[in-house]
Amino acid sequence: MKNTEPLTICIVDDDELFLKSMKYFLQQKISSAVQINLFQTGEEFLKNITEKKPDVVILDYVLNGFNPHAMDGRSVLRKIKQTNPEMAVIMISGQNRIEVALESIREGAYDYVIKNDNVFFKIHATLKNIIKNITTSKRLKKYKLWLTGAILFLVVGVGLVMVYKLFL
Amino acid sequence: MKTIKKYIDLTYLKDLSNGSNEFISQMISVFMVQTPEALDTMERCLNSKDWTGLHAVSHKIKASFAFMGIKELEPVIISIEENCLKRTNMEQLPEMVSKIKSVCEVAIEQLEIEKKLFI
Repeated sequence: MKNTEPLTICIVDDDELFLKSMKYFLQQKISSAVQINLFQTGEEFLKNITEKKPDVVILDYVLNGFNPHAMDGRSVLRKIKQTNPEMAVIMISGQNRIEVALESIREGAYDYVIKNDNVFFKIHATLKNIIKNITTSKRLKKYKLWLTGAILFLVVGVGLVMVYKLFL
Repeated sequence: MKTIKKYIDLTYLKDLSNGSNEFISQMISVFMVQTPEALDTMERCLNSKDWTGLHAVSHKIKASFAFMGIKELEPVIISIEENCLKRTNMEQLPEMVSKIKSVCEVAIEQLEIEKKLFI
């Protein structure tokens, strides 16, 4: 995510009601530019992951509620982490079983949010932290690049002066 | 005169809507399309004794009920989910699924009327 580029979020859930309401809620709440893509299956999302390059994925744990043959959220999380380990994934589920939450975190999820009345607000709070982290890491990268450039400039400059003094 | 109980309560949806009637109307439309499909899946799973499938679809539809404030079905859908997971009280499942179906049919009719207020 560059400062000028919008934040890209992908929401993956087979419940269309949740998908659309989550998108609407986030568009109202996030003040910075944001691009939200919706996917009803994990398969469809994985097909588009390279093109969309999301900064954050909001992924439902149960993706086979309406279609028992569909890929489940846990397998999608594994696939994401295999190819994009840095991608922030917020796992969501109606199950408030601690083992599901722990397993998701172990598999590399940034956070696990239970789908209850507060789910929208909790996801928004987690997103704010992720956005802060992304911004900080981008800023750090920028400073590192700037510092490397400055050191390089200095080394080349000193080198040139030395060559000048030695041979001319 | 027989009075029909009001099964829906759109308070949660209205809170989320931030005053957008279009959003409420759109959400009601999605529910009206998605729910009959889910009910068919529930029935199919029940008939084929696919308890894993019935658990999964119950888990999904539970969230939709919360959106439309169908509190009447909350304990029923939780029971189906738990019983399917633990494989307990299986003999009660047909009655529970039938209750879900009949309440949903009325709720959808009520939503159809309510939706007109948000267009």
